[in-house]
Amino acid sequence: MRKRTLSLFLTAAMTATALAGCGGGNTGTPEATTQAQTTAAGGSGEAQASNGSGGGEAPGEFSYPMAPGDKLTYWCELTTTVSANYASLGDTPFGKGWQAETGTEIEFLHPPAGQLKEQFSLILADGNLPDLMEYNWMTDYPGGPEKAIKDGVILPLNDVFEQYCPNLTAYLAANPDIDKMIKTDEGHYYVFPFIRGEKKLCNTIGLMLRDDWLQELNLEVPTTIDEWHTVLTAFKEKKGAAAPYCFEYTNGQYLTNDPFAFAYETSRSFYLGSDGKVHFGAAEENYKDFLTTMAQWYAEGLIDPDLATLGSDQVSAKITNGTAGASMGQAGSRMGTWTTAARSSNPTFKLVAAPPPTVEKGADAEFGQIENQYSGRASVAITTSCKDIERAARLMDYAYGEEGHLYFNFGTEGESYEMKDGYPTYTDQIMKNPDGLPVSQAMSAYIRGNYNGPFVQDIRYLEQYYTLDEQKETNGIWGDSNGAAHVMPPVTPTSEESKEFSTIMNEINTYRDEMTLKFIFGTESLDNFDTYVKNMENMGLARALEIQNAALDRYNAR
Amino acid sequence: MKRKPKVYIQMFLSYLGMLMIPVAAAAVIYGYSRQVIRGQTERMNDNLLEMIQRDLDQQISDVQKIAARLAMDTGVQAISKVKTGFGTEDQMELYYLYNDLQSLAMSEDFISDVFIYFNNTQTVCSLQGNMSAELFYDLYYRNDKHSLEEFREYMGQPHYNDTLRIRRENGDDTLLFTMTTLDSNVGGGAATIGIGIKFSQLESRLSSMEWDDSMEAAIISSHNGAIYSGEANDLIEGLVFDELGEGSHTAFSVSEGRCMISVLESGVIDWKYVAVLPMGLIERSAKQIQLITVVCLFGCGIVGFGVSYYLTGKNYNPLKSLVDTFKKHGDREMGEDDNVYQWLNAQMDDFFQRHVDANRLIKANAKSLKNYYLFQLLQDYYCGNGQELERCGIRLNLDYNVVILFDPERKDGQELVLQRFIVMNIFGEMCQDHFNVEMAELGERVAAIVNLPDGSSEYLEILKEKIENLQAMTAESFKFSCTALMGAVCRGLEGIHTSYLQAAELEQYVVILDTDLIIYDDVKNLQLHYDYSIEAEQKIINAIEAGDSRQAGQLMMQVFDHNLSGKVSADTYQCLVYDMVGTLVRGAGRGGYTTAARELDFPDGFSMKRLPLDKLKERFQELLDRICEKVQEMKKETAGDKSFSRKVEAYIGENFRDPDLNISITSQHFDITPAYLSSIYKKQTGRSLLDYINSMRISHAEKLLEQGYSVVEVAPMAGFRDSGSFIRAFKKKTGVTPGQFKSKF
Repeated sequence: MRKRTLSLFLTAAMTATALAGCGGGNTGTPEATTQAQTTAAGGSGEAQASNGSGGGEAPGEFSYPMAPGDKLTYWCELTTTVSANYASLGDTPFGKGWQAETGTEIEFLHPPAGQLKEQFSLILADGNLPDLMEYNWMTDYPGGPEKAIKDGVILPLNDVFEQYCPNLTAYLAANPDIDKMIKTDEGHYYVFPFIRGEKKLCNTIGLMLRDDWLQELNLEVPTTIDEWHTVLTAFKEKKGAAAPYCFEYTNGQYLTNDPFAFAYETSRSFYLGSDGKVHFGAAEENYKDFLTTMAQWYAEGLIDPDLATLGSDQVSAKITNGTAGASMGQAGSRMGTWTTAARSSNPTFKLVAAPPPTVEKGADAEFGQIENQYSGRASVAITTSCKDIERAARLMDYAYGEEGHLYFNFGTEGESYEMKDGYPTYTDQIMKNPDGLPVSQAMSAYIRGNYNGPFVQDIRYLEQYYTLDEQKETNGIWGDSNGAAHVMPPVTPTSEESKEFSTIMNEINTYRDEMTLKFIFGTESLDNFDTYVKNMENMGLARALEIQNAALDRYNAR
Repeated sequence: MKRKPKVYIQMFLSYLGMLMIPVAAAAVIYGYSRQVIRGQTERMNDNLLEMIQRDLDQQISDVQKIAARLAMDTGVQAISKVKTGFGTEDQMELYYLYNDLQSLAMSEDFISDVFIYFNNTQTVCSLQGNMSAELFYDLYYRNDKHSLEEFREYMGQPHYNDTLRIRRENGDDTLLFTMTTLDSNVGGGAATIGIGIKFSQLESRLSSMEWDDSMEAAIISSHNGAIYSGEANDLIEGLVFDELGEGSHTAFSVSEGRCMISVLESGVIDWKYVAVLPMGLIERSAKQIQLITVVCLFGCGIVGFGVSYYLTGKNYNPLKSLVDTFKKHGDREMGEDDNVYQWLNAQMDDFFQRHVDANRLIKANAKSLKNYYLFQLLQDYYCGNGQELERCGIRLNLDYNVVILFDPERKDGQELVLQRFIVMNIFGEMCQDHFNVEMAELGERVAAIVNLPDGSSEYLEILKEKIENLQAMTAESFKFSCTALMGAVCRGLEGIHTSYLQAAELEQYVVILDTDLIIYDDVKNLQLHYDYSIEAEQKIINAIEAGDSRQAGQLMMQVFDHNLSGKVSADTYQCLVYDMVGTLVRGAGRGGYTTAARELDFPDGFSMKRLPLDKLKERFQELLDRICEKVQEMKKETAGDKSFSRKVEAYIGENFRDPDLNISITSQHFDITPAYLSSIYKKQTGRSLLDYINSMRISHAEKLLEQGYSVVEVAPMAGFRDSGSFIRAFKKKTGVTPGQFKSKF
């Protein structure tokens, strides 16, 4: 029996190799390669099923933990809140529990901090791939996920999902919009995705300003550009803020999601227009209006004069020491952190979230910051080096089931959370860690819910993670817009397109960034905006838009 | 334990002395190892410093390049000239500068921070953004040691590749390289480039190269003193930059004691890299070697001692047993201070001397014994099985033996011994190629027992030849003769006696045969009969009766000559002598000298001693003379009685030519019976008448024969009927035929 199984496996493997070889030589038929790999995956999966966990083919009979088997290697970045206390994810209670729950031994491999992309390139070059790799396969693999499959780096997962992943399959069936996001244009699944479980989790960035100053100055939270002008001017004049509005200009995410640009229904980057087409905001007339306001404010000293080079340290310092009165950022890492820091010296310090501003008073905000539920980040692909595909698939699928969902978001019941009236409530182990760990670090020991990973993020984590009332309010305030209609879906240009696209956009973006600053600083007259737009068009903007629109069409066609 | 003898101690000490070789070798090796360790340590330190120098110089030169680049950057210089507040243009420049810095430092993990301090505006352009110097200080360089004012002041001063170490509040340790812009127009200090390197980087680079925990790598700068001193603070702080030459020194550290310091200058900055290695480390390595050496030596010593003890025992014991043996048997006690070897040597000499003497004695004894056994063999029938003979070296294993007796010519006693010795040696030597020979001295003679495979004449011939050779040799070389008597070849050892007896018997033939070599086999076949006829006796008796000693002697000598001239056996000789004696007695009796036998005591003269022929003759002649003299005396007394016989004789003298004359005729002439005539004649003359007639006839015939008459002519002339009866009668009377007699003339 054993011998027969082995020979069966070998035959399958050999067939796979042979077919893969043919496919590799015959570049014209990528489908053949895919087919072969799929067959190989299926074949070996069957072999493993009859050999190992037993009854794997019938989903109803399967249950965790799996029978002991081969060790799997799992490559992922170790987030700072984990690395502060642990050298490896496998050392954390979360990592240990995950292995125990699934019955799978995992060897965690972590790139040195800050070298995620370099290490990724090295591993690919080396060719000795870990079984599982957590990465942003959508945006960070050169040429995109389809290329990764064609390159023979990762496996297409359609058959794998069907055979071994009942949980994820069920979730995708219930969430077709997400299902659409995590596929390639060719319809291949390629990762076990990180999914923000609710739209609320997608509104992460927004404006905030000193509520105590507003109170003191008897001002309302501003909702329009004009109100903002009033408030900032008051801050400058009444509160002596040298840089009333100050934000991390060097953080691209903030620039792209600049609420004041959104107020003019534009963005510095691509957005989905009401016409269903892709637009490049920085080349449109609305952007000129936005820049006009910004230049005016800068000239009036309402914006930090050092705006161009502002980093988080400076912003943090300026907000907390009162040099600045308004900023933008996340509710947790910015609002919460700053408030905590400032209150040690200024107990009345309070920040309040401001809604997406509009030009017209009382108008509904059309644009607003919102992330796609699937951003591509922290999603796990099974590499072609993986031997025990079923085991790997079942390990990953665990997180999308009911048990796994709770485990990834709340950890172990009785230890890191307790069910109170059906609500998973973090224990004091997390919220008031006896070892004095910050909540974020305590959480990171037990869950992945507070950062990311191959699972569906639960909003209930955030509800408990935000400790301040003003933090808890942010989701409602910042999400009050039609932003979701304008955010670019996770489109995937083809590898050829993406290369061309990035070449064009590198140049355009650099030019745009420089010109934007010049316009704001006033060193470049806004009269030259048309020249600026023309220059960008000369750089191939139209082609970039064409590529994006084509990708969008393919996406919509999924 | 009994006190060991001196030689034992000496031997033991000499073995132990050999142990000094490894001790000396170990000492040399230890000394050398120490040198090698020190040398290697120095080399390792040098290598270490070279590595540090290469690595850090590279990094620092990068830092300096960046600093120099920025210092010469026109943008920087332009901004540095802005006196009060930045315009929007300046903000753009600063933005560009910021982007510049980003691109500069991003790839350098060694560099933690790059910033430009603008003195006039008190602002900073840094990797973290552009900001006021105050904010920059607060955010990144707040520290206890340097206040904001001091920081500003320091940054405002002109610098060129200066370093400042800043320990920030958040624990980051930064080594700040500063360089003022190279803008000659403005006095200086318009802008200062600051490049911070992570001190931890420096530290880890240095400490990762330290090859031993106890060593320290340090950096000393020309004006700042120790930049990095690891844990050897007190030592490094005490070092004076200018006094440190490159190479190795020794210095003293409070915590580590004596240290070895290696120094290497940086090629790019006024730094000196210092490696501090406690001498203890070297000592420790050396000590390990020392320990191993000592342990090995100790082991060697113990083993060597054991081996020495064992070897001494092993080598001394034989010596000791030798000495003990000599002590036990010897009479000489060894002195306390005697050299054992010399003592032994003397003892050995002594021993061997004695041994040689004993051997000689034993040899002599063996000779005697052998002689004894040989003697026994010769003298008696042997009835043993030959074993004792073989033990004595008598080898007579062949079946046949023959005994030869050598009888050297007798001279005086002294020579006899020599002669015997000569004979024994020569004969022994001569025969040893052919036969087994055993020689023994028997009184004056020498007996040789020759062992033969069989009794064939072939061997005897050889033997005879050897004997003759011997005799020739003794005669020629040693001037003495030697008689050899050889017995018969006899079978077995018991035959030796037989052969000996035979040989001994031959002695009597020596005189008779008058030869040097007498062989039993030859002798035993000699004639045993002799020719002594009654007629001849009668004649002699008649002559004696007649008192004619001349006639009698002549006749008697004839008999002797006839019978004893050739080889005769001793028995024959003896018998003849007795016969002759009988004749003498009878003749004397006829002559009337009846007491002759008693008076002359004949047997004495002949029985005991054999005499040579001539002596025998003389003796007999003498006896005859005496007897005849006596007879004539007595005849004169009885002359008358013989007249008748004279008449008869005269008658016969006239008529004997008549062949018919006989006793009857004669008796008729005298008219008496023949019987009576014969008896009277015999009574008067002592001989028969017929004998007288024949004597007359033969005598006459002899005369005739002498006169030349032939036998046939003589016969009738002398009264014989025919020549036949003449020849018979002549032969009977003279022993020879008339022809033979005639041929004499």
